[in-house]
Amino acid sequence: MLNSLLSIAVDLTLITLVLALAAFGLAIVYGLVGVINMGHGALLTLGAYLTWQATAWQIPFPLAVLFAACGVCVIGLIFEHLVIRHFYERPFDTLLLTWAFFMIVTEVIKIVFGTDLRTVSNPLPGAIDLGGVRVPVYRATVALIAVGVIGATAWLFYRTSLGIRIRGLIQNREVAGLLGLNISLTYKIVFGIGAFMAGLAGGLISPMLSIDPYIGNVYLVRSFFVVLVGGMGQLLSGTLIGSFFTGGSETLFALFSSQAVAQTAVFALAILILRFRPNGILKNK
Amino acid sequence: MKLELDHVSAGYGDIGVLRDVSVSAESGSVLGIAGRNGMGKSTLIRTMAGLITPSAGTVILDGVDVTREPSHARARRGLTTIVQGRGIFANLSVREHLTMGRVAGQRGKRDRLAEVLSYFPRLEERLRQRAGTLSGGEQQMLAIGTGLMTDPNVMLLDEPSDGIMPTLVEQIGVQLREINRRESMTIVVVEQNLPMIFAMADRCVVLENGTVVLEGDAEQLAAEGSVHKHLALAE
Repeated sequence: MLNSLLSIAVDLTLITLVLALAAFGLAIVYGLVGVINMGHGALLTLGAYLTWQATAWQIPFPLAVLFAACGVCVIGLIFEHLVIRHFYERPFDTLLLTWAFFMIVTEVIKIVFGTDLRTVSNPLPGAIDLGGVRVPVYRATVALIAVGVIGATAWLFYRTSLGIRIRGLIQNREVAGLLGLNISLTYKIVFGIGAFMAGLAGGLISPMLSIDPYIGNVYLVRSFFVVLVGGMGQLLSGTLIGSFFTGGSETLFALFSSQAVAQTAVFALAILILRFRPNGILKNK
Repeated sequence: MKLELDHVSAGYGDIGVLRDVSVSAESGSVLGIAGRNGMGKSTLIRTMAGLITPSAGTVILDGVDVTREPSHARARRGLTTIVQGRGIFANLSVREHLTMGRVAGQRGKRDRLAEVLSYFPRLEERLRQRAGTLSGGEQQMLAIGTGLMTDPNVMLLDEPSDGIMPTLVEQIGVQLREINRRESMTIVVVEQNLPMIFAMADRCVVLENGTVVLEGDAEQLAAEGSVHKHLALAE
């Protein structure tokens, strides 16, 4: 019994942290600059494919992931510079534009990489024994990386002058500009960080799943629920709580039902939460 | 640093508000701008700040034509603007708010925190408090203090007395005059509170329907009562 509970707790922790990593890029872009980035899933997919491509070139896995994250960041920045920067403050327009971006990227991936499933071999195979529970080493490592990355980014936003600039901009764009802040450059930095995070997540997740052009979709909807349920702009606590709610409750429901029923139940619960707390669990108004 | 508007017309879209306005704030002086509601005072300040691009005329800052420059570029040239309603970052702490003034623009600015706190000692007691929880007067002090943290040469203020207790209005007026004297700061202040304008300003301008209808030495205009008369007549 104790063993089963420990096993569930480990599963919940790993799923929460991996989902938090996947959702973090969206939390940054949606939560901080208000762009409903439907292209987040495509950026994640791209991160997975670039990692696959880099490992196929015999680049060591950690460097392959870094290559993928930087590549996705550059693509995200190009998209931001050519398109998104003209539409800040127009959320519905950015929703449509990022959706178009998602479709274009998906089709380009199909053309370049084809539609066959690709796999990235697990760089850390095996499992460790944690009080009788077998924990996959790679999954645990990704969870630890998620903690580190989210912690470091939260530090960047809450403890550095760049963070003050970004938080000031979010709260009062006009006054931030009057103080000398280059608003378009700051938005670009935030968008770039969000894209980097999406690419990093895609790269790190790639050994856990078979890669296809729609792999990012698996995380897109969940990522939106994470951000909405946790509370927009609640970067650290919101993402973790939203991930725990979305990923964790799905795992719990799945213990007693099928995966499809569990997913439906989680989404219904999320809608119910948003009905009573429209700004998310952590935001009162 | 001198700020000039030369035959400026400006407004919002097709709606013209300012018509052929020429005003000048001499380096190190205080220019007061008076007028009733809706006469174009805020539009004038927003045009000076770079929030509105004029449809005609030029804005000249320290001899440089900045008419087409956005607000952040003008801020980097040494212009700071305190908007009406104390535009603040409600969720930043007072310390972060002041830091925002220093880091928002160019790098390598000197840290003026100690000087700013000497102008507004109340802020020192509230450095860890969220800006949104301060009183109206304290928020105005914070807005001015944050503007000072940008290390400006010209400060624009839009109705600094708006919604603030009279005793604090007087204090803020005294501090602004002190800042002007100690730092040779050029100040342009838009106000409906005439005693505040006359206590601070060297020169005064009255706007009526988007044009300058009265201009002169503030002391002389105060002695003549001509601004009061003009505003009363206009009503």
